[in-house]
Amino acid sequence: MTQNTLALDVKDLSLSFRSRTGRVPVLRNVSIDIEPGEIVGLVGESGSGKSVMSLQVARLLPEDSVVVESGDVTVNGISTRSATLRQMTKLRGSQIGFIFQEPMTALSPTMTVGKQLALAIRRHRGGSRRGVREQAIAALDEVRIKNPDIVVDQYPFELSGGMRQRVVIALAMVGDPSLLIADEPTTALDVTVQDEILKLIRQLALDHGMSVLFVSHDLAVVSNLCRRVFVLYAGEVIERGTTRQIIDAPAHPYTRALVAALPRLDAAGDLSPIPGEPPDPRNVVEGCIFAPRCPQRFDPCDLKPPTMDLQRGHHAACWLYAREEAHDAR
Amino acid sequence: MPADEEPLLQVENLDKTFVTRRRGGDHRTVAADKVSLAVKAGDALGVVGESGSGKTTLVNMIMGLERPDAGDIRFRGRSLTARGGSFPYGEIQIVFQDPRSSLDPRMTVRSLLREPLTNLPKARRRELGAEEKLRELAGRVGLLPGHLDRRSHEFSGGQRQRIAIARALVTRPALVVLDEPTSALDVSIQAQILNLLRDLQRDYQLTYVFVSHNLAVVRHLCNEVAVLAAGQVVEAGATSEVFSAPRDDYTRTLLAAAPSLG
Repeated sequence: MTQNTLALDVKDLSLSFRSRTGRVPVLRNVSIDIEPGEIVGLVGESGSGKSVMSLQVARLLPEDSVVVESGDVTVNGISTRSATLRQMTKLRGSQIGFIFQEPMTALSPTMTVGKQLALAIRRHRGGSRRGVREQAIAALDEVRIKNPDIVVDQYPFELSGGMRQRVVIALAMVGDPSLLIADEPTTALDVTVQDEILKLIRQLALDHGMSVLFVSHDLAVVSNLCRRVFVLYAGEVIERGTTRQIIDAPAHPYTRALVAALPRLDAAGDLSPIPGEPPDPRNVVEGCIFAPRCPQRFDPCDLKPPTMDLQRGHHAACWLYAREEAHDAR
Repeated sequence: MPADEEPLLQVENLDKTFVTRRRGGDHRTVAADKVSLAVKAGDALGVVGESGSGKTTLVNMIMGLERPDAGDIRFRGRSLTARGGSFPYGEIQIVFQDPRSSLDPRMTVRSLLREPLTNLPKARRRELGAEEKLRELAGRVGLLPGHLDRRSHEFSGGQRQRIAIARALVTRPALVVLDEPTSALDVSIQAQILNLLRDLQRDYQLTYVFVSHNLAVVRHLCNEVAVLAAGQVVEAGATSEVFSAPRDDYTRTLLAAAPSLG
Protein backbone atom coordinates (compact mmCIF):
# COMPACT_ATOMS: atom_id res chain seq x y z
CA MET A 1 0.00 0.00 0.00
CA THR A 2 1.34 3.43 -0.84
CA GLN A 3 0.78 6.67 1.04
CA ASN A 4 -0.98 8.21 -1.96
CA THR A 5 -4.73 8.50 -2.07
CA LEU A 6 -5.98 5.93 -4.53
CA ALA A 7 -7.53 7.30 -7.73
CA LEU A 8 -10.23 4.65 -7.40
CA ASP A 9 -10.90 2.52 -4.38
CA VAL A 10 -13.80 0.09 -4.67
CA LYS A 11 -14.06 -1.70 -1.34
CA ASP A 12 -16.12 -4.80 -0.85
CA LEU A 13 -18.93 -3.54 -3.07
CA SER A 14 -22.08 -5.63 -3.23
CA LEU A 15 -24.88 -4.32 -5.38
CA SER A 16 -28.31 -5.64 -6.32
CA PHE A 17 -31.05 -4.65 -8.71
CA ARG A 18 -34.63 -4.47 -7.50
CA SER A 19 -37.02 -6.64 -9.47
CA ARG A 20 -40.59 -7.81 -9.07
CA THR A 21 -39.33 -11.12 -7.76
CA GLY A 22 -36.91 -9.62 -5.26
CA ARG A 23 -33.35 -8.40 -5.24
CA VAL A 24 -31.02 -9.71 -7.94
CA PRO A 25 -27.37 -9.61 -6.88
CA VAL A 26 -25.18 -8.19 -9.66
CA LEU A 27 -21.90 -7.51 -7.87
CA ARG A 28 -20.65 -9.44 -4.86
CA ASN A 29 -17.82 -8.17 -2.65
CA VAL A 30 -15.97 -6.47 -5.49
CA SER A 31 -12.74 -4.67 -4.58
CA ILE A 32 -10.72 -2.72 -7.17
CA ASP A 33 -7.90 -0.29 -6.48
CA ILE A 34 -6.22 2.04 -8.97
CA GLU A 35 -3.15 4.11 -8.16
CA PRO A 36 -2.84 7.64 -9.52
CA GLY A 37 -1.70 7.51 -13.15
CA GLU A 38 -2.25 3.79 -13.44
CA ILE A 39 -4.10 2.05 -16.31
CA VAL A 40 -6.08 -0.90 -15.02
CA GLY A 41 -8.19 -3.37 -16.97
CA LEU A 42 -11.51 -4.84 -15.89
CA VAL A 43 -12.17 -7.94 -17.98
CA GLY A 44 -15.36 -9.91 -18.10
CA GLU A 45 -17.89 -11.45 -20.45
CA SER A 46 -21.48 -10.34 -21.06
CA GLY A 47 -23.40 -10.27 -17.82
CA SER A 48 -20.30 -10.33 -15.63
CA GLY A 49 -21.27 -6.95 -14.16
CA LYS A 50 -18.37 -4.98 -15.63
CA SER A 51 -20.54 -2.19 -17.04
CA VAL A 52 -22.60 -2.00 -13.85
CA MET A 53 -19.34 -1.67 -11.94
CA SER A 54 -18.06 1.14 -14.16
CA LEU A 55 -21.37 3.04 -14.08
CA GLN A 56 -21.58 2.78 -10.30
CA VAL A 57 -18.22 4.57 -9.97
CA ALA A 58 -20.00 7.75 -11.08
CA ARG A 59 -23.34 6.58 -9.60
CA LEU A 60 -24.89 6.68 -13.06
CA LEU A 61 -27.25 3.77 -12.43
CA PRO A 62 -30.92 4.63 -11.77
CA GLU A 63 -30.91 5.11 -8.00
CA ASP A 64 -34.38 3.73 -7.38
CA SER A 65 -33.58 0.36 -8.95
CA VAL A 66 -30.18 -0.18 -7.36
CA VAL A 67 -29.42 -1.30 -3.82
CA VAL A 68 -25.89 -0.99 -2.48
CA GLU A 69 -25.83 -3.90 -0.05
CA SER A 70 -22.35 -3.23 1.28
CA GLY A 71 -19.11 -1.46 0.56
CA ASP A 72 -18.21 1.86 -0.99
CA VAL A 73 -16.66 3.43 -4.07
CA THR A 74 -14.12 6.13 -3.30
CA VAL A 75 -12.74 8.40 -6.03
CA ASN A 76 -9.68 10.41 -5.04
CA GLY A 77 -10.61 10.01 -1.38
CA ILE A 78 -14.22 11.13 -1.91
CA SER A 79 -16.85 8.58 -0.96
CA THR A 80 -19.52 8.34 -3.64
CA ARG A 81 -21.86 6.39 -1.38
CA SER A 82 -22.37 9.25 1.07
CA ALA A 83 -22.06 12.06 -1.51
CA THR A 84 -25.12 14.20 -2.15
CA LEU A 85 -26.49 14.49 -5.66
CA ARG A 86 -24.94 17.97 -5.93
CA GLN A 87 -21.54 16.63 -4.90
CA MET A 88 -21.88 13.77 -7.39
CA THR A 89 -22.70 16.17 -10.20
CA LYS A 90 -19.55 18.07 -9.41
CA LEU A 91 -17.51 14.88 -9.29
CA ARG A 92 -18.71 13.76 -12.71
CA GLY A 93 -16.63 15.35 -15.41
CA SER A 94 -14.19 17.08 -13.09
CA GLN A 95 -12.89 13.97 -11.31
CA ILE A 96 -14.41 11.17 -13.38
CA GLY A 97 -14.44 11.18 -17.18
CA PHE A 98 -16.45 8.64 -19.15
CA ILE A 99 -16.16 7.16 -22.64
CA PHE A 100 -18.47 4.49 -23.97
CA GLN A 101 -18.57 1.86 -26.68
CA GLU A 102 -20.80 3.63 -29.17
CA PRO A 103 -19.66 7.24 -29.65
CA MET A 104 -22.76 8.19 -31.63
CA THR A 105 -24.98 7.61 -28.60
CA ALA A 106 -22.69 9.73 -26.44
CA LEU A 107 -22.89 12.68 -28.83
CA SER A 108 -25.85 14.84 -29.72
CA PRO A 109 -26.68 14.41 -33.43
CA THR A 110 -28.18 17.90 -33.66
CA MET A 111 -25.23 19.95 -32.39
CA THR A 112 -21.88 20.66 -33.98
CA VAL A 113 -18.79 19.20 -32.31
CA GLY A 114 -17.77 22.71 -31.26
CA LYS A 115 -21.08 23.48 -29.61
CA GLN A 116 -20.98 20.26 -27.59
CA LEU A 117 -17.43 20.97 -26.48
CA ALA A 118 -18.42 24.56 -25.63
CA LEU A 119 -21.15 23.32 -23.27
CA ALA A 120 -18.62 21.19 -21.41
CA ILE A 121 -15.95 23.90 -21.41
CA ARG A 122 -18.26 26.58 -19.96
CA ARG A 123 -19.56 24.08 -17.42
CA HIS A 124 -16.12 23.11 -16.18
CA ARG A 125 -13.96 26.15 -16.87
CA GLY A 126 -16.36 29.08 -17.23
CA GLY A 127 -14.96 31.81 -19.48
CA SER A 128 -16.10 33.99 -22.32
CA ARG A 129 -17.83 32.82 -25.47
CA ARG A 130 -14.95 33.97 -27.61
CA GLY A 131 -12.25 32.03 -25.80
CA VAL A 132 -14.41 28.93 -25.80
CA ARG A 133 -14.06 28.27 -29.52
CA GLU A 134 -10.27 28.42 -29.27
CA GLN A 135 -10.39 26.04 -26.32
CA ALA A 136 -12.63 23.64 -28.29
CA ILE A 137 -10.16 23.62 -31.18
CA ALA A 138 -7.30 23.02 -28.76
CA ALA A 139 -9.25 20.14 -27.17
CA LEU A 140 -9.69 18.51 -30.61
CA ASP A 141 -6.03 19.06 -31.35
CA GLU A 142 -5.07 17.28 -28.15
CA VAL A 143 -6.90 14.12 -29.23
CA ARG A 144 -4.92 14.25 -32.51
CA ILE A 145 -7.79 15.29 -34.76
CA LYS A 146 -6.39 16.70 -37.99
CA ASN A 147 -7.85 20.05 -39.12
CA PRO A 148 -9.55 20.76 -35.75
CA ASP A 149 -10.63 24.19 -37.03
CA ILE A 150 -12.79 22.43 -39.64
CA VAL A 151 -14.02 19.55 -37.48
CA VAL A 152 -15.17 21.98 -34.78
CA ASP A 153 -17.98 23.13 -37.10
CA GLN A 154 -18.98 19.64 -38.24
CA TYR A 155 -21.79 17.43 -36.98
CA PRO A 156 -21.08 13.93 -35.60
CA PHE A 157 -22.71 12.25 -38.62
CA GLU A 158 -20.07 13.82 -40.86
CA LEU A 159 -17.29 12.03 -38.95
CA SER A 160 -15.99 8.47 -39.06
CA GLY A 161 -16.39 6.15 -36.05
CA GLY A 162 -12.80 6.70 -34.96
CA MET A 163 -13.13 10.50 -35.22
CA ARG A 164 -16.34 10.42 -33.20
CA GLN A 165 -14.63 8.44 -30.46
CA ARG A 166 -11.84 11.04 -30.44
CA VAL A 167 -14.47 13.76 -30.00
CA VAL A 168 -16.01 11.84 -27.08
CA ILE A 169 -12.55 11.54 -25.54
CA ALA A 170 -12.00 15.27 -26.04
CA LEU A 171 -15.30 15.91 -24.23
CA ALA A 172 -14.28 13.64 -21.37
CA MET A 173 -10.94 15.44 -21.06
CA VAL A 174 -12.45 18.94 -20.79
CA GLY A 175 -12.86 18.70 -17.01
CA ASP A 176 -9.30 17.35 -16.65
CA PRO A 177 -10.51 14.23 -14.78
CA SER A 178 -8.18 12.30 -12.52
CA LEU A 179 -9.93 9.07 -13.48
CA LEU A 180 -11.11 8.04 -16.94
CA ILE A 181 -13.63 5.22 -17.18
CA ALA A 182 -13.46 3.66 -20.64
CA ASP A 183 -16.22 1.10 -21.18
CA GLU A 184 -15.40 -0.94 -24.32
CA PRO A 185 -14.36 2.24 -26.15
CA THR A 186 -12.87 0.42 -29.15
CA THR A 187 -15.24 -2.52 -29.57
CA ALA A 188 -17.19 -0.90 -32.41
CA LEU A 189 -14.04 0.19 -34.25
CA ASP A 190 -11.78 -1.38 -36.88
CA VAL A 191 -8.50 -2.83 -35.64
CA THR A 192 -6.29 -0.12 -37.11
CA VAL A 193 -8.50 2.60 -35.60
CA GLN A 194 -8.66 0.68 -32.32
CA ASP A 195 -4.89 0.67 -32.23
CA GLU A 196 -4.79 4.47 -32.64
CA ILE A 197 -7.42 5.07 -29.93
CA LEU A 198 -5.57 2.81 -27.47
CA LYS A 199 -2.35 4.74 -28.12
CA LEU A 200 -4.23 8.01 -27.59
CA ILE A 201 -5.65 6.86 -24.25
CA ARG A 202 -2.18 5.77 -23.12
CA GLN A 203 -0.68 9.12 -24.16
CA LEU A 204 -3.40 11.17 -22.43
CA ALA A 205 -2.99 9.15 -19.22
CA LEU A 206 0.74 9.84 -19.34
CA ASP A 207 0.44 13.56 -20.15
CA HIS A 208 -2.18 14.25 -17.49
CA GLY A 209 -1.15 11.77 -14.82
CA MET A 210 -4.66 10.39 -15.28
CA SER A 211 -5.78 6.97 -14.09
CA VAL A 212 -7.82 4.76 -16.41
CA LEU A 213 -10.28 1.97 -15.68
CA PHE A 214 -10.44 0.16 -19.02
CA VAL A 215 -13.45 -2.12 -19.20
CA SER A 216 -13.44 -4.78 -21.91
CA HIS A 217 -14.40 -8.30 -22.87
CA ASP A 218 -11.19 -8.56 -24.88
CA LEU A 219 -8.24 -9.88 -22.91
CA ALA A 220 -5.91 -9.21 -25.85
CA VAL A 221 -6.81 -5.51 -26.00
CA VAL A 222 -6.52 -5.17 -22.23
CA SER A 223 -3.13 -6.88 -22.19
CA ASN A 224 -1.78 -4.36 -24.72
CA LEU A 225 -2.86 -1.35 -22.66
CA CYS A 226 -3.06 -2.16 -18.97
CA ARG A 227 -0.50 -2.67 -16.24
CA ARG A 228 -2.84 -4.62 -14.01
CA VAL A 229 -6.01 -6.61 -14.69
CA PHE A 230 -9.07 -7.55 -12.65
CA VAL A 231 -11.03 -10.53 -13.96
CA LEU A 232 -14.75 -10.37 -13.24
CA TYR A 233 -16.96 -13.45 -13.50
CA ALA A 234 -20.68 -13.43 -12.66
CA GLY A 235 -20.31 -10.38 -10.43
CA GLU A 236 -17.18 -11.46 -8.55
CA VAL A 237 -13.51 -10.59 -8.98
CA ILE A 238 -12.09 -14.10 -9.28
CA GLU A 239 -8.51 -13.09 -10.08
CA ARG A 240 -6.34 -10.00 -10.14
CA GLY A 241 -2.70 -9.35 -10.89
CA THR A 242 -0.30 -7.70 -13.26
CA THR A 243 -1.07 -8.21 -16.94
CA ARG A 244 1.92 -10.52 -17.25
CA GLN A 245 0.82 -12.63 -14.29
CA ILE A 246 -2.70 -12.94 -15.70
CA ILE A 247 -1.63 -13.74 -19.28
CA ASP A 248 1.49 -15.84 -18.66
CA ALA A 249 0.43 -17.62 -15.50
CA PRO A 250 -3.34 -17.41 -15.08
CA ALA A 251 -4.25 -19.12 -11.83
CA HIS A 252 -8.03 -19.31 -11.62
CA PRO A 253 -9.50 -22.06 -13.83
CA TYR A 254 -11.83 -19.47 -15.41
CA THR A 255 -8.99 -17.15 -16.38
CA ARG A 256 -7.01 -20.12 -17.68
CA ALA A 257 -10.00 -21.22 -19.77
CA LEU A 258 -10.51 -17.67 -21.04
CA VAL A 259 -6.90 -17.46 -22.23
CA ALA A 260 -7.17 -20.91 -23.86
CA ALA A 261 -10.43 -19.97 -25.61
CA LEU A 262 -8.90 -16.94 -27.31
CA PRO A 263 -8.03 -17.50 -30.98
CA ARG A 264 -4.42 -16.46 -31.61
CA LEU A 265 -2.70 -15.03 -34.64
CA ASP A 266 0.30 -17.29 -34.27
CA ALA A 267 -1.42 -20.68 -34.03
CA ALA A 268 -4.29 -22.41 -35.76
CA GLY A 269 -4.84 -25.31 -33.34
CA ASP A 270 -8.13 -26.32 -31.77
CA LEU A 271 -9.57 -23.90 -29.26
CA SER A 272 -10.62 -25.03 -25.81
CA PRO A 273 -14.06 -23.58 -25.24
CA ILE A 274 -15.49 -23.22 -21.76
CA PRO A 275 -18.42 -25.62 -21.52
CA GLY A 276 -21.80 -24.24 -20.53
CA GLU A 277 -22.72 -20.62 -19.96
CA PRO A 278 -22.37 -18.11 -17.12
CA PRO A 279 -24.97 -18.49 -14.35
CA ASP A 280 -28.26 -16.64 -14.27
CA PRO A 281 -27.82 -13.92 -11.62
CA ARG A 282 -31.28 -14.74 -10.22
CA ASN A 283 -30.20 -18.27 -9.58
CA VAL A 284 -26.60 -18.28 -8.42
CA VAL A 285 -25.07 -21.32 -6.77
CA GLU A 286 -23.74 -21.33 -3.23
CA GLY A 287 -20.00 -21.73 -2.98
CA CYS A 288 -17.65 -21.07 -5.89
CA ILE A 289 -19.39 -19.18 -8.66
CA PHE A 290 -17.44 -20.97 -11.43
CA ALA A 291 -17.77 -24.49 -9.99
CA PRO A 292 -20.60 -25.63 -12.33
CA ARG A 293 -18.33 -25.07 -15.39
CA CYS A 294 -15.00 -25.85 -13.76
CA PRO A 295 -12.94 -28.82 -15.00
CA GLN A 296 -11.01 -28.93 -11.71
CA ARG A 297 -13.96 -28.85 -9.36
CA PHE A 298 -13.50 -30.80 -6.12
CA ASP A 299 -15.35 -31.16 -2.82
CA PRO A 300 -14.52 -27.83 -1.14
CA CYS A 301 -15.97 -25.90 -4.10
CA ASP A 302 -19.43 -26.12 -2.48
CA LEU A 303 -18.15 -23.43 -0.13
CA LYS A 304 -17.12 -19.90 -1.06
CA PRO A 305 -13.36 -19.95 -1.82
CA PRO A 306 -11.06 -17.52 -0.01
CA THR A 307 -9.01 -15.07 -2.08
CA MET A 308 -5.44 -16.32 -1.91
CA ASP A 309 -2.27 -14.28 -2.30
CA LEU A 310 -0.23 -16.26 -4.84
CA GLN A 311 2.58 -13.86 -5.60
CA ARG A 312 3.19 -10.18 -5.09
CA GLY A 313 -0.06 -8.59 -6.27
CA HIS A 314 -1.42 -11.78 -7.82
CA HIS A 315 -4.60 -13.03 -6.16
CA ALA A 316 -7.11 -15.72 -7.08
CA ALA A 317 -10.32 -16.82 -5.39
CA CYS A 318 -9.97 -20.57 -5.76
CA TRP A 319 -9.73 -23.57 -3.46
CA LEU A 320 -6.89 -25.02 -5.56
CA TYR A 321 -4.60 -22.53 -3.86
CA ALA A 322 -6.07 -22.98 -0.42
CA ARG A 323 -5.77 -26.71 0.09
CA GLU A 324 -4.96 -26.37 3.78
CA GLU A 325 -7.93 -24.11 4.37
CA ALA A 326 -10.02 -26.48 2.26
CA HIS A 327 -9.02 -29.28 4.58
CA ASP A 328 -9.93 -27.23 7.65
CA ALA A 329 -13.24 -26.19 6.17
CA ARG A 330 -14.36 -29.78 5.83
CA MET B 1 -10.42 -28.34 -67.18
CA PRO B 2 -12.38 -31.35 -65.87
CA ALA B 3 -15.47 -30.40 -63.91
CA ASP B 4 -14.22 -31.83 -60.62
CA GLU B 5 -11.14 -29.61 -60.59
CA GLU B 6 -13.08 -26.45 -61.15
CA PRO B 7 -13.52 -24.22 -58.10
CA LEU B 8 -16.91 -24.57 -56.40
CA LEU B 9 -17.26 -20.80 -56.37
CA GLN B 10 -15.47 -18.54 -58.79
CA VAL B 11 -15.67 -14.78 -58.55
CA GLU B 12 -14.23 -12.99 -61.56
CA ASN B 13 -13.48 -9.31 -61.99
CA LEU B 14 -16.47 -8.08 -60.04
CA ASP B 15 -17.14 -4.35 -60.18
CA LYS B 16 -19.70 -2.50 -58.12
CA THR B 17 -19.99 1.24 -57.62
CA PHE B 18 -22.64 2.97 -55.53
CA VAL B 19 -23.59 6.50 -56.46
CA THR B 20 -25.08 8.87 -53.89
CA ARG B 21 -26.51 12.16 -55.11
CA ARG B 22 -25.08 15.13 -53.29
CA ARG B 23 -24.96 18.86 -53.62
CA GLY B 24 -22.00 19.77 -55.79
CA GLY B 25 -21.83 16.50 -57.67
CA ASP B 26 -22.54 12.83 -57.15
CA HIS B 27 -20.47 10.84 -54.72
CA ARG B 28 -19.18 7.52 -55.98
CA THR B 29 -18.23 4.67 -53.67
CA VAL B 30 -16.30 1.85 -55.26
CA ALA B 31 -17.31 -1.23 -53.27
CA ALA B 32 -15.80 -3.79 -55.64
CA ASP B 33 -12.98 -3.14 -58.07
CA LYS B 34 -12.00 -6.16 -60.20
CA VAL B 35 -12.56 -8.57 -57.31
CA SER B 36 -11.54 -12.13 -58.18
CA LEU B 37 -11.62 -15.13 -55.85
CA ALA B 38 -11.64 -18.88 -56.29
CA VAL B 39 -12.98 -21.18 -53.61
CA LYS B 40 -12.32 -24.89 -54.07
CA ALA B 41 -14.69 -27.47 -52.61
CA GLY B 42 -13.70 -28.12 -49.00
CA ASP B 43 -11.90 -24.80 -48.60
CA ALA B 44 -12.59 -22.25 -45.93
CA LEU B 45 -11.80 -18.87 -47.42
CA GLY B 46 -11.49 -16.00 -44.98
CA VAL B 47 -12.36 -12.57 -46.34
CA VAL B 48 -10.85 -9.92 -44.08
CA GLY B 49 -11.02 -6.17 -44.28
CA GLU B 50 -12.14 -3.13 -42.33
CA SER B 51 -15.37 -1.15 -42.52
CA GLY B 52 -15.90 0.12 -46.03
CA SER B 53 -13.56 -2.42 -47.61
CA GLY B 54 -16.42 -4.01 -49.57
CA LYS B 55 -16.89 -7.21 -47.54
CA THR B 56 -20.64 -6.83 -47.24
CA THR B 57 -21.14 -5.90 -50.89
CA LEU B 58 -19.19 -9.00 -51.89
CA VAL B 59 -21.39 -11.17 -49.66
CA ASN B 60 -24.53 -9.57 -51.05
CA MET B 61 -23.39 -10.23 -54.60
CA ILE B 62 -22.55 -13.88 -53.86
CA MET B 63 -25.97 -14.31 -52.24
CA GLY B 64 -27.68 -12.75 -55.27
CA LEU B 65 -28.93 -9.78 -53.23
CA GLU B 66 -26.95 -7.26 -55.24
CA ARG B 67 -26.10 -7.27 -58.96
CA PRO B 68 -22.52 -6.54 -59.94
CA ASP B 69 -21.93 -3.79 -62.52
CA ALA B 70 -19.50 -6.06 -64.31
CA GLY B 71 -17.84 -9.42 -63.85
CA ASP B 72 -19.17 -12.88 -63.15
CA ILE B 73 -19.88 -15.22 -60.25
CA ARG B 74 -19.90 -18.91 -61.11
CA PHE B 75 -21.10 -21.69 -58.82
CA ARG B 76 -20.31 -25.24 -59.97
CA GLY B 77 -19.34 -23.65 -63.27
CA ARG B 78 -22.75 -22.02 -63.80
CA SER B 79 -23.05 -18.27 -63.91
CA LEU B 80 -25.16 -16.72 -61.13
CA THR B 81 -25.16 -13.32 -62.74
CA ALA B 82 -26.37 -14.26 -66.22
CA ARG B 83 -29.82 -12.95 -67.11
CA GLY B 84 -32.53 -15.56 -66.86
CA GLY B 85 -30.43 -17.71 -64.57
CA SER B 86 -31.91 -18.79 -61.26
CA PHE B 87 -30.22 -18.75 -57.88
CA PRO B 88 -29.34 -22.24 -56.61
CA TYR B 89 -31.59 -22.06 -53.53
CA GLY B 90 -30.49 -24.32 -50.77
CA GLU B 91 -27.05 -24.92 -52.23
CA ILE B 92 -25.66 -21.61 -51.00
CA GLN B 93 -26.66 -20.57 -47.49
CA ILE B 94 -25.71 -17.75 -45.16
CA VAL B 95 -25.24 -17.22 -41.41
CA PHE B 96 -25.41 -13.60 -40.26
CA GLN B 97 -23.60 -11.80 -37.46
CA ASP B 98 -26.42 -11.20 -35.05
CA PRO B 99 -28.90 -14.03 -34.44
CA ARG B 100 -31.06 -11.60 -32.46
CA SER B 101 -32.01 -9.88 -35.70
CA SER B 102 -31.69 -12.80 -38.13
CA LEU B 103 -34.16 -15.06 -36.28
CA ASP B 104 -37.85 -14.23 -35.82
CA PRO B 105 -38.33 -14.31 -32.03
CA ARG B 106 -41.95 -15.48 -32.36
CA MET B 107 -41.19 -18.58 -34.39
CA THR B 108 -40.40 -21.92 -32.81
CA VAL B 109 -37.04 -23.46 -33.60
CA ARG B 110 -38.86 -26.13 -35.61
CA SER B 111 -40.51 -23.60 -37.91
CA LEU B 112 -37.29 -21.59 -38.15
CA LEU B 113 -35.50 -24.72 -39.34
CA ARG B 114 -38.25 -25.59 -41.85
CA GLU B 115 -38.55 -22.11 -43.34
CA PRO B 116 -35.49 -22.31 -45.66
CA LEU B 117 -36.99 -25.45 -47.23
CA THR B 118 -39.94 -23.49 -48.64
CA ASN B 119 -38.28 -22.91 -52.01
CA LEU B 120 -37.25 -26.53 -52.53
CA PRO B 121 -39.21 -29.12 -54.53
CA LYS B 122 -41.93 -30.80 -52.50
CA ALA B 123 -40.31 -34.23 -52.20
CA ARG B 124 -37.03 -32.72 -51.06
CA ARG B 125 -38.89 -30.46 -48.64
CA ARG B 126 -40.68 -33.46 -47.07
CA GLU B 127 -37.46 -35.43 -46.81
CA LEU B 128 -35.32 -32.72 -45.22
CA GLY B 129 -38.10 -31.31 -43.05
CA ALA B 130 -38.99 -34.66 -41.48
CA GLU B 131 -39.03 -34.58 -37.69
CA GLU B 132 -36.19 -37.07 -37.25
CA LYS B 133 -34.00 -35.11 -39.70
CA LEU B 134 -34.59 -31.92 -37.73
CA ARG B 135 -33.83 -33.66 -34.44
CA GLU B 136 -30.63 -35.08 -35.88
CA LEU B 137 -29.54 -31.67 -37.17
CA ALA B 138 -30.42 -29.98 -33.87
CA GLY B 139 -28.27 -32.56 -32.11
CA ARG B 140 -25.37 -31.94 -34.49
CA VAL B 141 -25.27 -28.23 -33.64
CA GLY B 142 -25.56 -28.87 -29.91
CA LEU B 143 -29.28 -28.31 -29.32
CA LEU B 144 -31.59 -30.71 -27.50
CA PRO B 145 -34.68 -32.30 -29.13
CA GLY B 146 -36.89 -30.39 -26.65
CA HIS B 147 -35.48 -27.12 -27.96
CA LEU B 148 -37.41 -27.52 -31.24
CA ASP B 149 -40.64 -26.46 -29.53
CA ARG B 150 -39.16 -23.34 -27.96
CA ARG B 151 -38.97 -19.86 -29.46
CA SER B 152 -35.66 -18.26 -30.34
CA HIS B 153 -36.03 -15.40 -27.84
CA GLU B 154 -35.77 -17.94 -25.04
CA PHE B 155 -32.19 -18.77 -26.00
CA SER B 156 -28.84 -17.18 -25.20
CA GLY B 157 -26.76 -15.53 -27.94
CA GLY B 158 -24.56 -18.60 -28.42
CA GLN B 159 -27.53 -20.96 -28.66
CA ARG B 160 -29.28 -18.64 -31.10
CA GLN B 161 -26.23 -18.75 -33.34
CA ARG B 162 -26.42 -22.57 -33.17
CA ILE B 163 -30.03 -22.29 -34.38
CA ALA B 164 -28.94 -19.94 -37.20
CA ILE B 165 -26.25 -22.44 -38.24
CA ALA B 166 -28.75 -25.34 -38.22
CA ARG B 167 -31.10 -23.18 -40.29
CA ALA B 168 -28.36 -22.71 -42.87
CA LEU B 169 -27.50 -26.40 -42.94
CA VAL B 170 -31.05 -27.73 -43.15
CA THR B 171 -31.06 -27.52 -46.96
CA ARG B 172 -27.76 -29.48 -47.08
CA PRO B 173 -25.82 -26.69 -48.83
CA ALA B 174 -22.42 -27.09 -50.48
CA LEU B 175 -21.37 -23.52 -49.70
CA VAL B 176 -22.02 -21.56 -46.52
CA VAL B 177 -21.28 -17.85 -46.31
CA LEU B 178 -20.53 -16.88 -42.71
CA ASP B 179 -20.78 -13.13 -42.20
CA GLU B 180 -19.03 -12.29 -38.89
CA PRO B 181 -20.83 -15.19 -37.17
CA THR B 182 -19.01 -14.85 -33.83
CA SER B 183 -18.52 -11.08 -33.58
CA ALA B 184 -21.51 -10.62 -31.27
CA LEU B 185 -20.47 -13.47 -28.96
CA ASP B 186 -18.31 -13.66 -25.86
CA VAL B 187 -14.86 -15.22 -26.15
CA SER B 188 -15.79 -18.42 -24.33
CA ILE B 189 -18.89 -18.89 -26.49
CA GLN B 190 -17.03 -17.84 -29.66
CA ALA B 191 -14.61 -20.74 -29.13
CA GLN B 192 -17.56 -23.16 -28.88
CA ILE B 193 -19.04 -21.88 -32.15
CA LEU B 194 -15.69 -21.88 -34.00
CA ASN B 195 -15.01 -25.46 -33.00
CA LEU B 196 -18.56 -26.38 -34.01
CA LEU B 197 -18.09 -24.77 -37.45
CA ARG B 198 -14.89 -26.72 -37.87
CA ASP B 199 -16.56 -30.03 -36.99
CA LEU B 200 -19.54 -29.33 -39.24
CA GLN B 201 -17.28 -28.47 -42.15
CA ARG B 202 -15.64 -31.87 -41.84
CA ASP B 203 -18.80 -33.88 -41.21
CA TYR B 204 -20.92 -32.29 -43.95
CA GLN B 205 -18.07 -31.61 -46.43
CA LEU B 206 -18.88 -27.92 -46.43
CA THR B 207 -17.12 -25.08 -48.18
CA TYR B 208 -16.98 -21.80 -46.29
CA VAL B 209 -16.64 -18.16 -47.21
CA PHE B 210 -15.94 -16.62 -43.81
CA VAL B 211 -16.16 -12.85 -43.61
CA SER B 212 -14.55 -11.25 -40.58
CA HIS B 213 -12.59 -8.32 -39.27
CA ASN B 214 -11.03 -10.58 -36.63
CA LEU B 215 -7.76 -11.91 -38.01
CA ALA B 216 -7.19 -14.38 -35.18
CA VAL B 217 -10.56 -15.99 -35.82
CA VAL B 218 -9.77 -16.30 -39.54
CA ARG B 219 -6.38 -17.78 -38.71
CA HIS B 220 -8.16 -20.40 -36.66
CA LEU B 221 -10.84 -21.45 -39.12
CA CYS B 222 -9.65 -20.70 -42.66
CA ASN B 223 -7.03 -22.37 -44.83
CA GLU B 224 -7.19 -19.58 -47.41
CA VAL B 225 -7.51 -15.85 -46.92
CA ALA B 226 -8.20 -12.79 -49.07
CA VAL B 227 -7.54 -9.29 -47.77
CA LEU B 228 -9.90 -6.59 -49.01
CA ALA B 229 -9.21 -2.87 -48.94
CA ALA B 230 -11.25 -0.18 -50.67
CA GLY B 231 -13.01 -2.76 -52.86
CA GLN B 232 -9.85 -4.49 -54.02
CA VAL B 233 -8.26 -7.80 -53.13
CA VAL B 234 -4.83 -6.60 -52.05
CA GLU B 235 -3.49 -10.00 -51.07
CA ALA B 236 -4.70 -13.61 -51.20
CA GLY B 237 -3.21 -17.00 -50.47
CA ALA B 238 -2.80 -19.72 -47.87
CA THR B 239 -3.62 -18.29 -44.44
CA SER B 240 -0.45 -19.57 -42.79
CA GLU B 241 1.69 -17.94 -45.49
CA VAL B 242 -0.15 -14.63 -45.66
CA PHE B 243 -0.09 -14.29 -41.87
CA SER B 244 3.55 -15.26 -41.40
CA ALA B 245 4.93 -13.42 -44.43
CA PRO B 246 2.49 -10.75 -45.62
CA ARG B 247 3.58 -9.17 -48.90
CA ASP B 248 1.20 -6.24 -49.04
CA ASP B 249 1.67 -3.11 -46.90
CA TYR B 250 -1.97 -2.98 -45.90
CA THR B 251 -1.94 -6.63 -44.75
CA ARG B 252 1.13 -5.80 -42.67
CA THR B 253 -0.63 -2.80 -41.08
CA LEU B 254 -3.67 -4.92 -40.32
CA LEU B 255 -1.63 -7.68 -38.71
CA ALA B 256 0.42 -5.20 -36.68
CA ALA B 257 -2.72 -3.49 -35.37
CA ALA B 258 -4.45 -6.72 -34.34
CA PRO B 259 -4.37 -7.03 -30.57
CA SER B 260 -2.55 -10.11 -29.33
CA LEU B 261 -1.72 -11.56 -25.96
CA GLY B 262 1.95 -11.08 -26.84
